[in-house]
Amino acid sequence: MKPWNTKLAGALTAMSAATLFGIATSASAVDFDRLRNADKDPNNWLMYHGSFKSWHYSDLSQINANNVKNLRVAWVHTPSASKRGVQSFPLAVDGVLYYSSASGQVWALDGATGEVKWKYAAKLDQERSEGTFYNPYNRGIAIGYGHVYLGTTDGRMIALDQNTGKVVWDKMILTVEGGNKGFTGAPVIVKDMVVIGSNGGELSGCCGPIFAVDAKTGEVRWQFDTIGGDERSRASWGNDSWKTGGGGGWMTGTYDEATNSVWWGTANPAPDYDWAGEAWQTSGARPGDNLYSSSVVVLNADSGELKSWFQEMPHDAWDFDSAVGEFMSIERGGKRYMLHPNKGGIIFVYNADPSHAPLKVENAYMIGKTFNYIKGVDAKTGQLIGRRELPEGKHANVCPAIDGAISWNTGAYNPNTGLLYKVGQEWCFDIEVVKADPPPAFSGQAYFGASWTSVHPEGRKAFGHVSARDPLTGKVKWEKEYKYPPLASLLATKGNLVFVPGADGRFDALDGRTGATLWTHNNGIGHHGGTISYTANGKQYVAVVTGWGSHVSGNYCPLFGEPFCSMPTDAGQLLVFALP
Amino acid sequence: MKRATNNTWRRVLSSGVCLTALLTPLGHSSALAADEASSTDAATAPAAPAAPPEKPKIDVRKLFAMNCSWCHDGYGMHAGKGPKLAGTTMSHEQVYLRIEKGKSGAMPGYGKVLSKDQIQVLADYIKALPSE
Repeated sequence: MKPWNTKLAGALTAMSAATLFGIATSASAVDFDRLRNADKDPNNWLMYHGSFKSWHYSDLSQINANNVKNLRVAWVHTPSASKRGVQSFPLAVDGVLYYSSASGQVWALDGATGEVKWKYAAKLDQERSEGTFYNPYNRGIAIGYGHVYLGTTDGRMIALDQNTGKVVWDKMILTVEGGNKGFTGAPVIVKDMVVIGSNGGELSGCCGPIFAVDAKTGEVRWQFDTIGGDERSRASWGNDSWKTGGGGGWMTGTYDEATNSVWWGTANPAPDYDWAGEAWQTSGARPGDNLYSSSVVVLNADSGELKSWFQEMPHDAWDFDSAVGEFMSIERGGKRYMLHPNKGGIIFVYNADPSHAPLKVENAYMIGKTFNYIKGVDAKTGQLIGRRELPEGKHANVCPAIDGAISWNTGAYNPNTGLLYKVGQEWCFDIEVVKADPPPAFSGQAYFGASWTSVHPEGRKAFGHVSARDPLTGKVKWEKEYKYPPLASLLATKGNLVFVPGADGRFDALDGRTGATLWTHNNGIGHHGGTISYTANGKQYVAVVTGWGSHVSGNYCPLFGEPFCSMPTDAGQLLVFALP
Repeated sequence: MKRATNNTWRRVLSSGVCLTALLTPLGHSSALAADEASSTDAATAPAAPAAPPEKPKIDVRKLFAMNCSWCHDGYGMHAGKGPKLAGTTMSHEQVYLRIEKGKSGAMPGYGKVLSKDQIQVLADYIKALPSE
């Protein structure tokens, strides 16, 4: 065991962390002991997924099903950059709220009043940032060891002083030689490292890396290449197509302390849409399974070595990557499970023990309804049943569309109701797949092989739904249909509430037991970011970010018309609610 | 409705391909001609110079699918992640520049990815899309 782990085993205090890392601490410094116990700390929201259990659950109940009807806006903050809306998750630490907005801006605000404590704006390499479509949004930050950590669209990791917003270190992490460009997802602190995944699923390049950098210095401690990094992966890409294969890990994974593992979801392979059709094992643009794209990977937290994996979409023919969503850690009957949603509308229930390689699937179930890209999923093996391949040519009404039945935002789990709350979205597309010419290897050029148009499912209009179900079996307790599919993350609370930030601007509080709408507030613009709860001066608040303009939200004007056609894509706010 | 759209499509695509074959970007051609002139030595020039190599035809439909389709649905006929391109009020020159330079915070520039000929052909194609 390394010296660091020995110290960790003794349950770090803020002082010991400061001693260990030589970082000046204050009352609000967050050490790893606080992070690993975040699920027992309802006054704060310490990381993107709330805690390493990734439940998106608050154990606060001042605001509850009985009094939520009195919920009011407490304060509002408008960031100075919000192109494509605010897509991030706020974090709350000891009464201070931190959040990021577009173009690498970070804000620290008084959690009770919204008073600005500091602001940081990264100076970005705009040519590099704007060389992709993954720009200029930022989906969140990490806080620990007196620092606020931010990934940037030009491939840097930056540590800011948590108290002042001043730069502590600023490191270029991601080289463009592999065709990768930058980061938009939130980092997560794992022990004395900060872990983040790169963009790149639609870019001609390799290798879509996931990085762990030293929390104190920013030096890269390990790098895991999601494609092309080992022989098993390379052998699954015929004709060396991994060199143009995309990959990545653009959203935030988690850490499982019991096995000292990082769990991360990976992006789709390039080209998006392969003309091979049924013959994809031996022909086409990327013959083979294309490991480890559209997969879950489990890495040794100390070394980044691959412990296990499961490819949710072998030879992903639909752009249904696994980078979306959360890894929910759930125990039942003395057994540990890890839940992970896939964009194709499947919830995979894994055995949390990564000594199984590939991972052992305990169950897999569909939450999408109108799908026809497969006939189903084998609950015992997680294998896709009855694939609908998309060879060169036209294909009508393929469901779901490229946007998936599950988007990148998170669901929530309430341990008191025992229910998983999750959004599903239902629309389809007509697509024509073409035989794309591969761009130069490692070039970072866009690599698509199709054109498409979003359409309604056959026989009805596009729609969305929020369901409450047993997380392990998938059995539905209740389901609520939404005219416009919500695109933002959900929040469950001990007050028996589920907060649903809606696409049309409505912010709903549902009864977590029944699905009944108990409260709604029109925030004036759509949501596709995070929502959290925290306390400041002993009072509970609920915070949500607003703003419209994500890639998926672009479908809403053609599918639904107003209010989406006139909804601005360069506006967004942080709204904070409280009881009077 | 769907049949009408498909028919419209065929017209557009065929016209785009035709435009591809017919249009030669003036700026690029001029530069090419100048280069050829300066490199020609009268003493060694053949009496009947060989015709310049024929440029490969650009399949604008494939080009669009490979580069533009993630944001512009239905080969530009429908809004998607990006706006509908058919019926754009931008001039041809503006469309060319938008493809080449991009738009800050909204669209990457393709000036370093695509050749001038490819950008020209895409601009021709987009401007030829029917507004209805």
